[in-house]
Amino acid sequence: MEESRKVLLETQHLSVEFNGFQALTDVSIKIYSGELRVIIGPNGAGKTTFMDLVTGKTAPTSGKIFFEGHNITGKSTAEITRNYRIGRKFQGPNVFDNMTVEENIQIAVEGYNSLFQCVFFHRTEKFRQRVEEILKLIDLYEYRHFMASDLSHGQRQWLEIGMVVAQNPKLIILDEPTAGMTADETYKTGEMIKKLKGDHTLIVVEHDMDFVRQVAEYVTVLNYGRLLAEGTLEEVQNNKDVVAVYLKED
Amino acid sequence: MSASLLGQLLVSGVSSSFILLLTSLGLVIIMGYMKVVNLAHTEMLMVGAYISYYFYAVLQLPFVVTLLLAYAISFLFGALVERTIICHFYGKMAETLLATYAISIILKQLALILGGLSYKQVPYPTDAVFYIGPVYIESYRLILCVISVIALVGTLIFIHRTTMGRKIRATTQNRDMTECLGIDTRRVDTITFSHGMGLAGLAGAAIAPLATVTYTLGESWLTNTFMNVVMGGVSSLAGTVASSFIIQEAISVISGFANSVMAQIIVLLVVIVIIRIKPEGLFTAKGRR
Amino acid sequence: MHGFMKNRKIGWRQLPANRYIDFCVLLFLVIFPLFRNTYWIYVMTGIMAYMIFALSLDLLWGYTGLMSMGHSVLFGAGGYMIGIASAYANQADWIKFDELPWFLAPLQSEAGAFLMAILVPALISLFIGFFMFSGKIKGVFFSLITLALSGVAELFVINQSDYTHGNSGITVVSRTVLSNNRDDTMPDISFYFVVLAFLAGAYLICSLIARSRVGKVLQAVRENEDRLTFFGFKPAAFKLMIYTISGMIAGVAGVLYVRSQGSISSSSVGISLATLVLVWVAVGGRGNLTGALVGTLVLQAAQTQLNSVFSGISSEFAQYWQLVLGIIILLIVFLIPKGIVGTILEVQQKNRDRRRKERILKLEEESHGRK
Repeated sequence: MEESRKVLLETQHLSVEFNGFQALTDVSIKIYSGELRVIIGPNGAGKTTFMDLVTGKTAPTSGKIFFEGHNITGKSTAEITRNYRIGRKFQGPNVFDNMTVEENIQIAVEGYNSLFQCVFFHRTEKFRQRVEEILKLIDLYEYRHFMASDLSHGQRQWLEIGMVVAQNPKLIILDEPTAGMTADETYKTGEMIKKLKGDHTLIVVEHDMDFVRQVAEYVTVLNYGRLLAEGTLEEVQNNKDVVAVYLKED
Repeated sequence: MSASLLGQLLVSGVSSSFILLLTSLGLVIIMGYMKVVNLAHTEMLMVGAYISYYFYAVLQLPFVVTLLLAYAISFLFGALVERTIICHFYGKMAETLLATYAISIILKQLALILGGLSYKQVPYPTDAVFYIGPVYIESYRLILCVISVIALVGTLIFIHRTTMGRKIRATTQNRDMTECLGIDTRRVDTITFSHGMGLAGLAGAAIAPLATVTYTLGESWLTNTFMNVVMGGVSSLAGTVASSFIIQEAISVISGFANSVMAQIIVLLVVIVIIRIKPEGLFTAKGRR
Repeated sequence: MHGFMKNRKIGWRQLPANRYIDFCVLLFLVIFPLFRNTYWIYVMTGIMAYMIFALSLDLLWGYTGLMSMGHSVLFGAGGYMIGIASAYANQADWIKFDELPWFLAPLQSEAGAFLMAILVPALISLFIGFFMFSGKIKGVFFSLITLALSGVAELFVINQSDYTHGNSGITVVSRTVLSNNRDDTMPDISFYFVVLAFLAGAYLICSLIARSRVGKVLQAVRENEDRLTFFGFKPAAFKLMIYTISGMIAGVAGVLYVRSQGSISSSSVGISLATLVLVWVAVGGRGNLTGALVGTLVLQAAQTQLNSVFSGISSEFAQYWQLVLGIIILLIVFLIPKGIVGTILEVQQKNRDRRRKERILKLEEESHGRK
């Protein structure tokens, strides 16, 4: 990856320990603006822990996290969401169940979330277009009047991806976005994510290798809390260490 | 204010604290171990008081037998209510509140229809009065303190030293896991709820001699018992014990300066401020004690 | 974009079912005085004030998920302001004071009394709300604290008998819009329509709030408060605002109720009314405003009607009504937990979703066929 591109997120020697369990050890990763980074690794490799650190859910034992050059190490989740625009989709759909799909997206659209903005809100053309754009992106436009609770599992996952996108974050973190999806749905999710690349920077944590092949350009492999390999999908697939880990797994 | 008056207020505050602890215990058990807010709790106090009236004052059974009967009857009623109504609404707060409220008004109206409007008096089992210097205390209030301690210690032993208690704690910690171990958590729920209701009945029977037994008896306990639960939190019985004392001592002492209603208002405002600082209640125990 | 425009033009057949029910309720209330005697008009005026009260609770409970078990405190605070103002204006014989204390001084003027009746509930809810919402007190603890509040408030009102006449209550309130003078009392029928106008206004305000972005955020608070925080919202501010607005509407409802009945007593601030209003909203269905109207109307009218039927047979009917009410609550939570209107709306939504799904599948098939 050319060094001329802007670094959006950088972690330096990140380590974290829970009650004597070393969840992450000395992880240094650079994520560039506009890229789509896939993080893979076997269970317990520290992928979710890494996400928790970046979004401020967990504080690192040592090491630093920089977002656009600002040190965000140890800041709270709310602060990071509000001031640094990092959006995260958690595992499993987490949406507003008894509201329509359209209302779910409307809530999430950025720039209308202080009490003042909400009280003096009126639906501008720009707002309408933004909601429509996102509904089409996640392929739920026809379903916009459905209650979120009446959607299928895959559609609910998309809805949440849509809600994260609606916040217009600089960095989007997707934690296993295809969990529990059918092969068809997984493929559609891949296409959705590819469309987001460029306008947004994405970090995707995934298990499904077909999906990884579909979307990945640059892959980071974690194993036992350590950075095992980094590179294009091809490089990584031919990396001896990675092969060893995955062969051992199977 | 003279020292003797203050002493009197403190002493009656202590006995009232034990009484509040006794009357709140069942509510805290059900809320802490089952996450169920039982709005029918105070009406069970009323039912217990009626049991005390019919068995002790009318049928002249021994007082201890009356207390045990009150516990047993309320326990059975609790089991019936849990099996038929409460078990359908676990995890649904609004439905539980509405359903237990429905039970409470049904109980209250049945008491009115069957017992009538008249006030019933339950005589004191003992009416001696002790003096400690200028401060006096009625012997029955001392007995109530003892009953309160027995109920508390009995419950602690039940929860911590018996197999059933271990099952109750396991169910609270992790219901699915407990079920996987082959424990019938439905039965555990029934017993926990019934024990809570049983304690309410027992408490009602025990306080009957101090109160006028009528169908509105439950209402008068509502505010203090629920305030107690809010302040003490539900994560430990130690919190309930502490908040019973803080609330009741504060009310007793403040009523010496102002009147008892003002005391209650001040205490409620203090409770609101306290839980602003400690939302989980006074004692945020990491594990249940 | 035209998709949205097309979608905005909704035919009358596509209106949600509760709009028809709203219309029927309005029609019923408008023509009601033609068919009933003065006693019923008096009763129905009180019920309409209660309907406003139920609306205010629905904003709080149905939309925001804050189950207040002490909403009567705000209702009664509004009512008592007018009560005390009337007692003072008419120099009720139990009054011992010549001058109102400074904090009640605005009650001497008519407009001041009305303002106080809105301001005092607003201040109470601001105070309580501030401590609870900024302290992250959630769910059942909010309910329990408000419950304790209404219990204490009832005792307080009885206790402050210099101003409230204690257990006997205040009985010199006039049936007027603003005036506290007994001589200005309106005919029942005129006041009936005054309250109806207030009800329509309250309904419009509540539905404006519910349909606005604020209303949507409030529903999101109800659905998943933590998720909302991740979108950069501060739920506490929204909750505090709606609690205060709800308190002001409840205060107005209290004013109208007191004026319609000509009196107020401590039961208007107590737990029994606080729980009764929850029952109305639960029976009608929460979170759609219409349910609050229907629940209140049906239960209160049924109680009055049954009372007049059975009063010849047994003088103790009131006792049995409470029993009936308990059984009604149990039936509702068992059979239709969403309430009457909520269930109708749910059936309609399910049907629509089914039809939409069929249409989407047909469209997809067609596009496949063309390929």
